[in-house]
Amino acid sequence: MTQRLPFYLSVSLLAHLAVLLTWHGVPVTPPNLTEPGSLQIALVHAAQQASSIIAAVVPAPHAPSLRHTSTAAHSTIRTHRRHNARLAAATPITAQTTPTAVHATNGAPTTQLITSNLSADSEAHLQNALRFAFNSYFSYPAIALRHGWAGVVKLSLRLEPDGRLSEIRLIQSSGHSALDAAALATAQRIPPLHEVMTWLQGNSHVILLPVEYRLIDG
Amino acid sequence: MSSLRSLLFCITASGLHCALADVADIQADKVLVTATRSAQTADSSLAAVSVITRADIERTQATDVVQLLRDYAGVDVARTGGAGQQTSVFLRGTNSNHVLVLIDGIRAASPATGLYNWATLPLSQIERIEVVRGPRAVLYGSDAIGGVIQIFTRKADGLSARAELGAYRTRALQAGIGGGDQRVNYSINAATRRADGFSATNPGAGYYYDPDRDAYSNRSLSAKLSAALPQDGKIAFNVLHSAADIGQDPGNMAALNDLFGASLSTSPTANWTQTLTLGLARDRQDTRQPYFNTNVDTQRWSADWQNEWEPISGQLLVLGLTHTNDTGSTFDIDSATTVYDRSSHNDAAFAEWQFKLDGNSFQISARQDRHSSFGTHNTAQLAWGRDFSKAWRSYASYGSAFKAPDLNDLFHPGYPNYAYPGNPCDPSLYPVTFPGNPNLAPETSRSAELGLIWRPVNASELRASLFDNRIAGLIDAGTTCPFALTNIGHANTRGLEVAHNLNFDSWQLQTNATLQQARNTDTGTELLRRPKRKLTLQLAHDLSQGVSLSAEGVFVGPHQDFDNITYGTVRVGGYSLMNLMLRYRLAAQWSIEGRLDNVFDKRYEVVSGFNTPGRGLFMAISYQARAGAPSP
Repeated sequence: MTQRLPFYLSVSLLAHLAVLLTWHGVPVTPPNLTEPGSLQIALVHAAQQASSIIAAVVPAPHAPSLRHTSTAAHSTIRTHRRHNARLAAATPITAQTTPTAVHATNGAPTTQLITSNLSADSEAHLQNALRFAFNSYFSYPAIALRHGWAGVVKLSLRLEPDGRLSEIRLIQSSGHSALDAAALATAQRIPPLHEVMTWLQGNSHVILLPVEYRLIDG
Repeated sequence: MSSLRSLLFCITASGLHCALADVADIQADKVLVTATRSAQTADSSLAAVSVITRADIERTQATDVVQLLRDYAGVDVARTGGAGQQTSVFLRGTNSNHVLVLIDGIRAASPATGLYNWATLPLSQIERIEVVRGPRAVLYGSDAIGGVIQIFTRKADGLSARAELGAYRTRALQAGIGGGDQRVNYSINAATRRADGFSATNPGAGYYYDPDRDAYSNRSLSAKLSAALPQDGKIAFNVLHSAADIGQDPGNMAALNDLFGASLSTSPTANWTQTLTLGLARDRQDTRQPYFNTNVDTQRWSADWQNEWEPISGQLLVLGLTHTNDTGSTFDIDSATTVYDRSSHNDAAFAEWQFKLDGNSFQISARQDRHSSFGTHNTAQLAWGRDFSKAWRSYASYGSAFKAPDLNDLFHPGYPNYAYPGNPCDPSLYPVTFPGNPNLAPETSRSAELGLIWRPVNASELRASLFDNRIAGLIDAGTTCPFALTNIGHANTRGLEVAHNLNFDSWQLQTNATLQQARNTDTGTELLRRPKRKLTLQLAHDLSQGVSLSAEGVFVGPHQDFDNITYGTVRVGGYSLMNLMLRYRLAAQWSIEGRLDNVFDKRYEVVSGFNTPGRGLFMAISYQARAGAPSP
């Protein structure tokens, strides 16, 4: 194995370059969702790309469903499989959860390990838990209220497997720095969301969170 | 090698996260953070605030400020005659100079008399009025003992015009144009109103009685321009010119009130905003009466610097500095002399801290004024509020306020004293009586309030407040010759205000009730012109095909007043009035309006010896382009 390491490294590097040069962006709102903007777990994107890389790395006739892994396990796959097997053990697999158009590069089946770990139930639970968690922390900044400022702030944050929020960034300004700063400060003060850990299945995700500050007439 | 494998694992399995960290893989539900747009004058969850919008003014079709303001709890309005005559507004039973009148943020009262001339401003120049009852000295300074009436002038959106004809040969015209966007917007509005009127006095006015009709006319122009600056900045200019000619019993008066304001606000950091406001107010009143022909000319410059700092979301600190300079002169035509030409100035610093603790909201504020005449004066206020459930909220506040002596109080030299039978002051010893006094201190007050807000559903809101004001140092003529003005009086006003708003389907019902007691605590007598009870009801209904109907009932109890014949006091009976309004929307932009005032043609008095309007019909046709555009 050790002699072939350089080979695998170069293949991996080439595959990375290939993906980086051809990546067009993540379809965040897939076409057949009924409610635009509702929570959607698109774990398939990460897993899909990972599996396509792995498929490229492993000279197998077809990209295996990693849960039913073949014995032709290279170290990379073994590591990955161990990782995913842990997830698989957590929840029963019932249905395909994400109705996205998955572009498997080598015609692999769309059932991917991470998404298949989550039932429609689990996904809904994660959605609710996140929604409840986020809603209870934000409040209208006093200066903005006095001056009648309103708008939508878009934040990006990484939800770690243990529920911590990190890499909190401003993606799109509302047009008022008071609202942007308040949204960022609030997100930074949110404690680890332990209640969503169960639904995360040990994965971290980057979340795009829109926060709308709206004034209503009393 | 295992570390390398782990590294590979990162690169291969989650490498895409590492490489494409800017791309999210979960679109979370939008978090919606809402807040109710607050009144600008005071936080309506911690104080008794009534907001009168342009829509309210148009729905009631009130012809003047008396008809508009008297509907609200805690507000009494008295006028010596018909439209255009001198109007006094009493908040919570306090004196008519205990209400601070602001127009577009600038003090509008005359620095000489301390009173605002309501006759100069027609309702067609008003966009919005916020009536706040309770002491507001810390943020606004002098005069706000009973409360603050903040008027925002008309903000035209598109083209608007209105022509009105009515009883007592009333005719009025208004035209305005405005527009713009978030970046720059402007508004210009012009209005004129006149009426032949009726006699202000009846024989009960004694010496003042004159049966001739007392006509009036006013004309006004307001203009605004504002532009957004980078970093949430804003620069704004506003101008209001209003003038009126009023026939009185006896004589007549010409009044002028000009206001100029400029403000610049910026946000140096995301949680700090500062606003600099400059204001200039000019007020002139020329009075022509037998034996009393004077021109009073006043000017007031003001500069305000206000900072808002929000270190933590929900915690707000407001710091302000303000400087005002008042100049006034009175010129007597008959003797061709300047009675006085004096000025005074005032500097003040204030701070307010708002914060929340365990579901309780707190507001702590303090102010220090330094006046060129009376020196240093401190005021403070503490307010608390809490939501007990989604529907119930309670608040309480305790604060002090003051009324600075105005230029007449300080510097008027007094009135010539003539010999007449029974004159207690010998004219050879006292050539003048009722002179001003430069050593006057401000009138002071301490007030407590307990309020309740009940909002079981969005369609229904009930507000109730209990209040108690203790006022000391009231400026009045002394008890010994020459009756110089001194801080001599004590008064106590207390009562209950209840206001209810109900909106359902196409119906709207507003109820306002006030029970109050206002006494001079030195003599134990009731203060004049403040009825003990008042109830007003407004019912509006939108029918189909653009027709709206409204009915208004005003029920006021009796009050004590000054008897112009015996010079004692007289009890003026209570009265009830009913008014009907109809509005018909002809097309998208055109409307026809009609108001039948005093449907039952009741004869009543609000001030002893002075007349009030009888039954009258007022009709108007109006045009509003971009109808339905909301006003800020």
